[in-house]
Amino acid sequence: MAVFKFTSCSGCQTPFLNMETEILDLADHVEVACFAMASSATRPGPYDLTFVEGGISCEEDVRRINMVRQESKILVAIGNCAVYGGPQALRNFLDLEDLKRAVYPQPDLVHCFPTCKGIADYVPVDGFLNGCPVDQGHLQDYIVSVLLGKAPEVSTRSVCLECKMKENICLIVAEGVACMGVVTGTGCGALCPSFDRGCYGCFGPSADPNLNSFANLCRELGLTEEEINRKLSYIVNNAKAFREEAERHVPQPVKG
Amino acid sequence: MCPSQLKVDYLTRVEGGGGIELDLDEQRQLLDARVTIFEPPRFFEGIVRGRRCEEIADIIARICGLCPVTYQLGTLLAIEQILGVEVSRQVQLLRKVFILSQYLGSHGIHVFFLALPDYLGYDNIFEMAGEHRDLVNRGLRLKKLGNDITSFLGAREVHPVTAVIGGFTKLPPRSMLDDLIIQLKARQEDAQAALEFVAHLPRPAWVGGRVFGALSHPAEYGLDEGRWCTNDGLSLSAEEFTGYVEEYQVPHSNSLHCRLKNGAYYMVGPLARVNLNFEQLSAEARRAASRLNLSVPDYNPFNSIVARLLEIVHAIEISINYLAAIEVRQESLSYDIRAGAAASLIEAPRGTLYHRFRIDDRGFVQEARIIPPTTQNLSRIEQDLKELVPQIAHEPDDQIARACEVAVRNYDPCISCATHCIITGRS
Repeated sequence: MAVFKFTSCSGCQTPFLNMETEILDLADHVEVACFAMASSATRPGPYDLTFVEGGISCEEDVRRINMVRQESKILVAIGNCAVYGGPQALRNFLDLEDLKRAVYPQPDLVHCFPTCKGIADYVPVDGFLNGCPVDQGHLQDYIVSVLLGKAPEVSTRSVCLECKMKENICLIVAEGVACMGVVTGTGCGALCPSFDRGCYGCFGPSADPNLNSFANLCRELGLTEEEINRKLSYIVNNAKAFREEAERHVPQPVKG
Repeated sequence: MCPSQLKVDYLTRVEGGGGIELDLDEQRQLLDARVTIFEPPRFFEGIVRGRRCEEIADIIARICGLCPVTYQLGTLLAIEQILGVEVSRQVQLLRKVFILSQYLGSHGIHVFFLALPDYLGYDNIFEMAGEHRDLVNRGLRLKKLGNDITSFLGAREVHPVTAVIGGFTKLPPRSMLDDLIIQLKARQEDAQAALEFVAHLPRPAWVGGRVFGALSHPAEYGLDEGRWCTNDGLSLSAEEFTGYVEEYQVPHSNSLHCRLKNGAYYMVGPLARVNLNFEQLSAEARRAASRLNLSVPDYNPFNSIVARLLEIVHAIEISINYLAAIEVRQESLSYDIRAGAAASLIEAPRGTLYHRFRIDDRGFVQEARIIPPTTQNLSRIEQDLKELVPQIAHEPDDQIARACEVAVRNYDPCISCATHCIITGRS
């Protein structure tokens, strides 16, 4: 098994280290061949199973992700950055060069793309685990599935359904909160609504989300077009369904 | 003369993408030492501009997957100051426990996963677990304790979701705080045993930097209140911080570097805090320090790992005290938006973390500035390498490289944090 990091916060490789009760057992069944944050021993590929955290935001990222792809039998994108480009993909909507010039004493020293995108924009990917951060249980299930030679199960239901199953009081109905649970994929266990907060979509769109209907709901709850745009252009901003609906609300020039 | 270069291409057992470059001449004299940071920048200060002040704590948390709580709370502290929100004592205490839970989690990762393999001669914790299973299990239990508290208060370990302007979206029931106290007490022995073990490990005897900075407060071990003090006499409010600390750019790094405006490189983090705030450590931590003959000031960066364990002992005891003092009364969160600017300082696991925001009268962020601990430590890290390498220059290249990696790990650098930014709104 290998774990590689690209443009990200390390919050999706941290869950491997947070498997405190399972990690030593796991290490009995899986050879950690390359995982820079956890080990100085870096063995060359090919790797049976590779997890990638982080988006692609510079030439060096592109070179590395191609190398990683070549060396990996199964390549899995973990978390918002690797799947969609992450929160820093908000810069895809801004003018990077202007920002650099206005700010850095020596802007020429900073080399990166104007965009940060998910790895599937650059290489074929075999599996996706959403979340900002990825869920520790999902990582474990994926590893165990590969060990057992069975297809990993990735749920496509919405947070909303999970929230109903937890018998939470609906924040939309009871409090008029524009909760994104209706259009967001499950995986978190409906965390935010369980803690009296509207879902902010950190697991990305559910399968076949009705964004148009969600936008209408937001309007009924009194959100302005600009607020709808910001809601859909937040932590997971570069997922196609969220991005396209966001663009329908405040038309703004989009780069890259 | 034809200088040679010795490189560590990709630092392992640190967070993020960085390396080391040493320039040596034919006589193996060190010409220069650099920590290269190639982790691409992520422009957080830029992307929060134009967002509502309520939205940004969860964006800024994503700067760091290892200590998101301190980014969230540092952001909220600054925003609350702008809005004139005064949080209740129970929220203050819960926040302190929240921060301390990150010390347990983050120091737990550093001590047991990242640093200890160096001292016991392994490449990673998995190999180390063979011969040192008990120690590793203690470490994993301590780390789990931290993560459990973080997720108990914040709903999950990484990028928790409950911290908002004024407090928490939902307050825990008192009975659950009692459960936490039981769990904390159950781990005190692990913390003491791990500290004892590590304090007795042979470490390089070495005198590094002599300037330290940390938040200090007469009544508590500096966390999220007080003034930023250095051992050479500075005592600054958050607002004054950038008047005395300057960031500068170097060609080999996507992270800015820091120094005091008098030119001094300085250290932030556990060793700095222990040195400056020793008197405010918990009684258990101070007793352990005297039993182990640990004294301050300690100028040896290789003792940072001991400082982390002292902070783990401290964090457990102080969290118990704070939790015991919370009654849990339901409260409502309300505030009005107003324009303004304010700065905050908070002690993240890796050291002082600075935030400053300016918002307009509709609550939109116009300007953001964030200075993470690793940015502040980078110059000091390079200085350590410059002082260390001449002493070991006769050794084979791989030994020098290894020693340099260990020296860098003393600071537990978080490179993603350090490359989060460009500074916006600067003239």
